[in-house]
This record gives sequence, C-alpha cells and structure tokens, in this order.
Amino acid sequence: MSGAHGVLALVHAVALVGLTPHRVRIECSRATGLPGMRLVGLPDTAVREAEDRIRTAIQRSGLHWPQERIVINLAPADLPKVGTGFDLPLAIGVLAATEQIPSASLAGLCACGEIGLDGSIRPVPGTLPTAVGARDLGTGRLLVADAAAGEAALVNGLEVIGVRDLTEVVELLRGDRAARQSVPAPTEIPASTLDLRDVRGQPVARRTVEIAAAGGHHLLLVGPPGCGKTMLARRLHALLPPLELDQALEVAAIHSIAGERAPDAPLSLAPPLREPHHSISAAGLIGGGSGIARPGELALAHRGVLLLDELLETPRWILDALRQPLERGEITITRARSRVRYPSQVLFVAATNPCPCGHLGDPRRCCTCRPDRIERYRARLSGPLLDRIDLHIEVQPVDQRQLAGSADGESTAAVAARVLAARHRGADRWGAGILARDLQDRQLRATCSERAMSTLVRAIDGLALSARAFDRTLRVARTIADLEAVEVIAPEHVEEALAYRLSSPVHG
Amino acid sequence: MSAALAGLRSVAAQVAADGTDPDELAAIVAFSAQPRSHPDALRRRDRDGHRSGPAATRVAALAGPPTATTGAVAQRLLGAWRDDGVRVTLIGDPAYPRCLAEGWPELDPPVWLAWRGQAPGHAPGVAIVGARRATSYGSGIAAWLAEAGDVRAPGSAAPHRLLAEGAAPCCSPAQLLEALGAPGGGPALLDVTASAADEVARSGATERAGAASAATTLPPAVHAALVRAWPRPVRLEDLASSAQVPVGGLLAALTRARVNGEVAEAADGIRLRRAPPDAG
Repeated sequence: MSGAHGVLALVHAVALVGLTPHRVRIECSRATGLPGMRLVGLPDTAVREAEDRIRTAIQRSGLHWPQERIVINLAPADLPKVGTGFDLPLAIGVLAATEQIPSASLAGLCACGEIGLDGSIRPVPGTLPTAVGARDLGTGRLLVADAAAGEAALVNGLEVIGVRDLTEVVELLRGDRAARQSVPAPTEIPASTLDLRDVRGQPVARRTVEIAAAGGHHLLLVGPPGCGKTMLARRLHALLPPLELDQALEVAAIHSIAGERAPDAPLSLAPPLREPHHSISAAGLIGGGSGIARPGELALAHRGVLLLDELLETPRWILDALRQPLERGEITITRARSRVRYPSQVLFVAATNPCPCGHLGDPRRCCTCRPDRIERYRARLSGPLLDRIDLHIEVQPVDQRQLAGSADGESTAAVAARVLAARHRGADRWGAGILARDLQDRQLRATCSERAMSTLVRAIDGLALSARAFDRTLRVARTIADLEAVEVIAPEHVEEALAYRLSSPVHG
Repeated sequence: MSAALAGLRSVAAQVAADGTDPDELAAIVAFSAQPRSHPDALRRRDRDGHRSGPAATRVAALAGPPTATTGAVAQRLLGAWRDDGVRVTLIGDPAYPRCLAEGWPELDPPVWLAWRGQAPGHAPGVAIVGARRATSYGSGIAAWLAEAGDVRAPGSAAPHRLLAEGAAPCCSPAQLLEALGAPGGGPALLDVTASAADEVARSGATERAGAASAATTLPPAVHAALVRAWPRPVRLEDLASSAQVPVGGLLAALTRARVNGEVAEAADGIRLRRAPPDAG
C-alpha cells in the first residue's frame, strides 16, 4: 500500500502465551516526526531494545536506515509481546516500509529470530512451538535462523526457510536467491545406561516399579538412606516406552519455551526425566515468573517422570501445589497479564526417608528421632496429595550378601518389554496414549469381574479405606491385569492393588 | 450362677496365672469392660482404704460381681487372650512381680499384668510400660536398651511405638531382651498392660477365626515362614525372597489374609495375628 507516508508493510509473527500461539500483525509505516523508531502494542523491554539492534544491523549489512520516523504497531495491541524473536519480523517490516524489499514478498510470511549487530540471525527459545503455532494459524512460510531451521522443520505442513543474516533475507525476499531446503532435525532415542539388573534384591519394589511404568501410576518410595530408592526411581524412567513423534514434539516445544533445548539438537523420543532439588520453589516446580509464566519442572516432565527425591524436605505448601495438576494432567497459571496452560501428564515419583534421621525401620541402625519430630516430619505430606499416589512402597536395605552377590533380577529390557505389551493392550482397548491412571470409573467397571468388585467392596469396608481409594485401586488392578495379559480384572488383581495402598509407610 | 457367668469363670481359669483366682480375675476384667471404667481406679481407691488381705481380693471386691452384660464382654476379651496364649496375674498374686507391687508404690503399678511366654519373675529387672503413648524419654530408653543388648527390638522400626512412659522393675534384663526379640527365638512379652490383647479382641479377628485358627489363605511357604518367626514379624522383602511365589501373588495373598484378620502388618514387617497352634 502506498500513500503520503509511503508503504504500510505487514509482516506476521507468533506470540506465545505458554504453548498457545497468537498471530501478531506487525504493521510498519514511515511517519512524520523526528527520525527514530516508535513501537506500540505492549512490547516488553527486549522488544523495545530491538530498535538499536535492527538499526545497527541494517546499517552494517549495507542497507539503508531511513532518516525519518518509523512507527510500528504490534497488533493485537493488548497482547503482551515478549522476547527477541520479534527482531527479524521488525527488521523485515522496516525494510519493506522503506521499499528495500517488495511488500508482495511478505504474503503468507511469518518470521522469528534475533538479530545481532552484525546482521546475523540467531535462534531464539520457543522456535519449535512458534513453528507449530505458525502452521496452526495458517501461515505458509516461516523464516527462522538457519541454526533453528532443523528444529522448525520438524513441523509438517509448513515451509521453513533458514537464513543466516539480514543480507540473505533481503536477497531471498527480492527473489535474488533461492530458499535453502530445511532438513528436519533427526530423531533419536538416547540409550540409557541404567539397568534394573543393577538393583539387588528388592523384589517387591521391582514389581511396584513395573506396575508404575505400565499404568503411569504415581509412586512413593519410603526407606532409609542408601536402600536404593533413587536407584529404583531412575530405572523406572528407563522402563517407559519411547514417545510417539507428536508427543515428542509436544515435549520438545515445552523445553524450547523454557530455553532448555539447543536448536540444533536432535528430537529426543525418550520421555523426559526431571529431578529437581528439594529446595525448589513453587514457581520452579509448577511454573511462574513475571509476565508470561514459564513452564516449571512439572510441565518439563510432561509425558515423562518427575522425580522428587527427599520429598519431605520440600515445604508442604509447595508440594500441595502439585495436587490439582496431578489430578488434571495440566497446570494453569494465572498472572495479572496472562493466563498460561501447560500440560503436565507426568508419572510422579517421590522418594523420602521415613524420619528426619532416616533410619526408622532400618533393621541395622537405630532411629534417634523423637516421636513428635517424626510426626511433624510426616505431616509435611498432606493426606490429599498422598491419596493421589497409587503405589506406596517401603524399601528396605539390602543385606550384604545380596549386595556382594551377583545380579539376581531381570534386566530393564525384559521388564520394559512387558510394560510395552501392557500399554499396547490398554491402547487397543481405550485408544492410543490413554493410560490406566486416566481411565474413568465407567471404563474401569466395564472390565472388572463381579468377584473382583465384591472383593474390593469387602476390603474397602473391612479396612476402612476412602471412597477415592476405590477407583484408584481399580486403576492399579487394571494395570496388573494388563501386565498379565488378562482382559477382565480378577480378585487377585484387586488384592495386589490393595496391597500397595494398605500400608502407607508415611501415614500408616 | 448363670450359664454366661459360668462360661466367664471357665475362660478366666484358662487365662489366670498360677495363684490367681479366676473369679477375681473375671470380676476385675468385667469391671474394666464397663464404659470409662479402669481397674487401676479401684486399686487407687483400695490404696486409700483398708489394707488387710491380698490386694487382688480387695480390688475384686471393689469391682463387684460381673453382670450379664459386662460378663459377656469380659468373656470375649478373656477368650482373645486365651487364644493368643496370654497369661494374666493380678496385683499381689504370687506371679505378680513383688518388687513392682510393693517396692515402688509411687510407680502406680497396674492391677493386672498380661504376658505371653515366660512369666516376668521376681528378680530385679527392667520393663517398660505404656507402649502406645511413649515419650521421647521412653523411646530413648528403649533404644538404649536395644543397643546395649545388641538386639533388634520388634519395633526397632518404630521404637517409640513399642515402649515406654516409665521404667518399672518387672523382669530381668535377659527376659526383657528376649522379649524385645533377641535372635534365637524364645518367648516374647506381649505387653505389660492389657492394651495389646484388648486391641486384638476389639479387632474381632479372634471371633472370626474361631477354633479353626490353623486354617490359612496364605501360600504354604509363606504361612510356614510366619509360623517359624512367630511372634516376631517377617519383613515383606524376606517373605518375597523366600516364598517361591511371584511377588504379585504374594501381595494378593497377604491382602486377603489381612482382610480376613489372619495377619497384621507392623512397621517392621508382617506377623500372624494369633499364635499358631503349635507355638509354645
């Protein structure tokens, strides 16, 4: 569009609010007034600082910086614009407004990248979800830093163009140069060096870990220091099957937003394992921060394992923040200017000592804790959170003979094969990606025998268990039946499932 | 005498230690079956009153004869004790430790002592009472005793649950250490109060089991391991290692047995709720 003030250039960009993409129209026009650039439309500091980067980069790239006023509107104006990824579309807008590149070349174009003072284009965090967003918003082409092109090219249905510097961008949009074909980053399944065979003894704990992996059930391991809780928890992660491609993209997108993913890294199909330190803050765990909330460890563990070691060293109010997301499989963080939703379908594994000194229940060491200290220590784990954990297991120290002896258990590969087979049975019955922990009451009862149901009713009544325990026990029983390749839940499946709930080592 | 009270006397006779009058035992247990009645209140009343005659007789007189209602409750309680192999003596009776009854009256000795296995005896010794409401001091004493004797207490997992509000001379250190679960087996002291047996009775497990206490829903190897360990608990991991059954099946069987009242789970393992028929 031409007029008294020259061309009104229009470039598209994507603003992410959490994982949710929003189309941003970058309208750029020359205007009367003192030379300079005026940005409107809720830019944050990083976006406002783009003026200096863009001007210097344009000048150092041998292009013309206009000696007049440039007004840029980021629409919708009430949506916060965050990050340096807006540098590239802003620069393209300025160049188009000053007619250094044809406006027609911007049709269907979306751009994302940070510009250096030398004109180089650099990748920014969140390139992958930006690419997903660009595709979902109907953009045909995405211009990104060459280093991030492989990551963006993982998204099907979108033409990804990698560029190295501003000169290349101009040549490309003028039609002086052909776009390079972007090759999607390779996928990989990192081999785990952790083997369940390394765990000596612990037959009950091994069985529990297998059930947790097969059904995605949350797990609480309680035991004295050095008995193998953390070892078991890490090996549980190795039992999980690889992610499907769309699941891996979803996980990578969250990691990309958090800046934890190198743009040139291959796409990992391994489920994530997050092990935050027990001194973690609430914002670190569930996400937060000023402006648009960033994902926390919970979201970063999406479709993987969130391992909280030394659980009871974490303050209770922080742990309680997990209650809702563990139930719903997503976390919604509301701030004054934004409301962000991150998925959080995690397998929550918690490990803790039974008391402050750690030796309560240790047959070889004497506990030195006063009873009131033990009570206070255990009270850090609230009943409602404990209720959401399906499998409670007390891990005892292994005796010296077992430690010195040869490995006596199955390997990770053998157990993982059973886990995968059980998950396939569930997927055939309920649909892909649905785990036993996510099943509804109606679905559970449909595959439960009458005898199993009456066994459960009798046990719930005789052992004074809560109504919530009813469904959760059935879900674990469903997983056990799937592990045994049995279609209908039998009484012994229910009884075994009850065993993991009956004697909570923490609240028992 | 009604049939109910005759039955009560018969059960009391099976539980009473040598030298303890079953009628007195029945009267005191029946008194304690009333709501908010504790026989120690009778003893305190007796201490403030006349002092002639055996203490147990005086306390039993204060308790009064059992009624049909209290008699029925007492009979159930005494039956549970009998099934668990518990013996009971009353204060001042021959089996009641003299040093506890007479030597330290300020210790407020209990009206009855219940035990399983070897009787407490009269030699100077140490026992700790009030297991379920232990103070940190009591827990410390328990831990110290356990360490000094190089033994594992059946609650070393939770010594605070096991023992103690105060120390009372009741049995020899050897007996105490034995009671705490010294390796090599031997009799174990159930408790120096009646609360543990009370708990068994309240659970109704004994009633459900009836006389057929040998019947079990556990796999034979598991049941045998629990019988061998009786009255000590067996760690779940040890059962799983030695039971020769899949872990899942073992857990299911233990749950079934727990629902049926056959086994109980403690902090330090699993044990049979009742003495096996061939236990000493």
